[in-house]
Amino acid sequence: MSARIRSFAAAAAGPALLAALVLLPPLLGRPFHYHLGILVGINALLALSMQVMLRINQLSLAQAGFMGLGAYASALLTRDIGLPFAAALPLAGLLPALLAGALGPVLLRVRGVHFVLLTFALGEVIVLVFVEWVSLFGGNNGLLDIPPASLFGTALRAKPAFYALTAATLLAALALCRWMTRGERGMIVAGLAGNEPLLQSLGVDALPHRCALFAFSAFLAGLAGSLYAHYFGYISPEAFGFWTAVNALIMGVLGGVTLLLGPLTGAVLLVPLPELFRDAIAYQRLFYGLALMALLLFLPRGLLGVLRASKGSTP
Amino acid sequence: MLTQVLLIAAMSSALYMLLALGFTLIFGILRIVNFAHGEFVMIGAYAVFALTSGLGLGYAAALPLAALLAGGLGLLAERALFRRYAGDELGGMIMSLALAITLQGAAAVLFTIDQQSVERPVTGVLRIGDAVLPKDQLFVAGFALAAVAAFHLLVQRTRFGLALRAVAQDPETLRLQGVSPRRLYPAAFGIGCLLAGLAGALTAPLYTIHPYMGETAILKAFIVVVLGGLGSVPGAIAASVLLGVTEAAVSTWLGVTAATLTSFVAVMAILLVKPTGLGGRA
Repeated sequence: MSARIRSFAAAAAGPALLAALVLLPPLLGRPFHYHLGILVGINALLALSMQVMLRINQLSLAQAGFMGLGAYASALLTRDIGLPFAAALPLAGLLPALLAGALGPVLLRVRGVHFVLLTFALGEVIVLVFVEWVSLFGGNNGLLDIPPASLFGTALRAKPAFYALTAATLLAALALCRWMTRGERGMIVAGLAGNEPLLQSLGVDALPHRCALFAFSAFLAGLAGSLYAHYFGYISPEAFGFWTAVNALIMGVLGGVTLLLGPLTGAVLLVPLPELFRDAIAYQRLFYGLALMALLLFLPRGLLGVLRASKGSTP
Repeated sequence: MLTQVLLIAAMSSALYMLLALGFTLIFGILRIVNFAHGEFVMIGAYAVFALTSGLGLGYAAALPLAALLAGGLGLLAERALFRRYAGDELGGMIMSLALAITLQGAAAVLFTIDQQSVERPVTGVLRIGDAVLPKDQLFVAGFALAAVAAFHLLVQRTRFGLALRAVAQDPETLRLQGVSPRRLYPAAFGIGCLLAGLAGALTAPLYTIHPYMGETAILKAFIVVVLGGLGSVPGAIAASVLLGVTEAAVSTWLGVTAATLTSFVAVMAILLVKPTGLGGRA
């Protein structure tokens, strides 16, 4: 009986944690809390996109560049072409997904540390194109006057409305990731990470699956970019550089790389820090780095990983 | 014009060699991509700043001390942080990112984020034909080349260098000869960081010093090392010259962003076509 209760608790813990996190800003109710909630949501999306690749043991530093592509695409489609936001949001995901899908067969042949370096270079190239192609992307000044998000003819100018949009997008993304890791599809993903030759010997062609995951991860990053662009109304290249990717990676590592809610947990813990410690701004980066090193040394499986291990439900 | 471009190319090549050698050495021995390499360059620069304007030392004394300090900190970092990640490329990389953030934060706390500068120990210009050469840059390039030559001798002509090359090529065989590869990790990491610190100390009078200056340095080291092949010393030297020349040429005629873009596209092409780089080994 107690085992049953424990397994029920284990099954309910994830959804309960998720519900608590999503409902936190409305419960606290101040515009500042909604603002933090929106930032957490956008960062969690990017961290989730990075996690999709980490699940198959490939660290992609190009995700911030994909986010930038989504942001610029969404901004240009709504501002200059006049597309409604409801059409621009999915397109902002599809565009980087198409790029990743097209480059995937070439890039994904490279493994390990070389793949990290390759995607690092790709991310830099994407940002440098934003800087260099001034007539389209506005160069270092970026793009201004991006119209606010709107659905069904209503502009989502108010923070609670935009928070609802961010939360809904994140929940949809989490649902997609969960679907991806279940059943036969989940076994293929696990196989890609664990033993690709075995997978191939069972008649599964690995490369198309890896490409699909790469495209999917770029799709999530593009959605994050679109939300970012329409929330701030202004974008510039440096927002999508190396450190944005690194921060997303750190959120994933902090929360737990293999757990669905890891990226969101990491984002909830890290994103509010700069906003809360504005007074200690000089020490912020130092504390952040030290905390991160301590975490890597003492909790290498992330915070959720530790909770999970103490319950004994993962090997 | 052409002479000037070639001379600029030669001077930046020498500096890139110094930046890249330590980075590639650490990867060759420990298989760790040290994203904090640029921060050790920054440590060298700040050490010169603190020793000259804080303690009133001359530049000639501050330069070796700064390099030794960076090397010593590198030794400590290897002991405390990186040792456990030997062979775990992803884990080591993430730890090096954490170290980079910490060192940037520490520099910002100790020295503020304001830009600092160090007085130039050498001034004046040298004219060769119609080309104009600032003497301070010549000094940096000359010193960097001398350091690279010394490093080359250390690796090629000493028993210690032989052991280093053996770890990079085949750690198992070295172990069979009774030398534990782990014993070489601290020295390799320390020397790598010492070279980075030396690069920072040398260039401190040329550029402004700030906590985030490591990023430019690591980008250059990264491009050189990937082009030359991760872990390959001769490859890094050849790639430094290649980068120095293309960069000088492209930035003279097309602009700096175009030069950076060109080098990153070249990096991607190399990684895709020949991931072991021009130098050959991975």
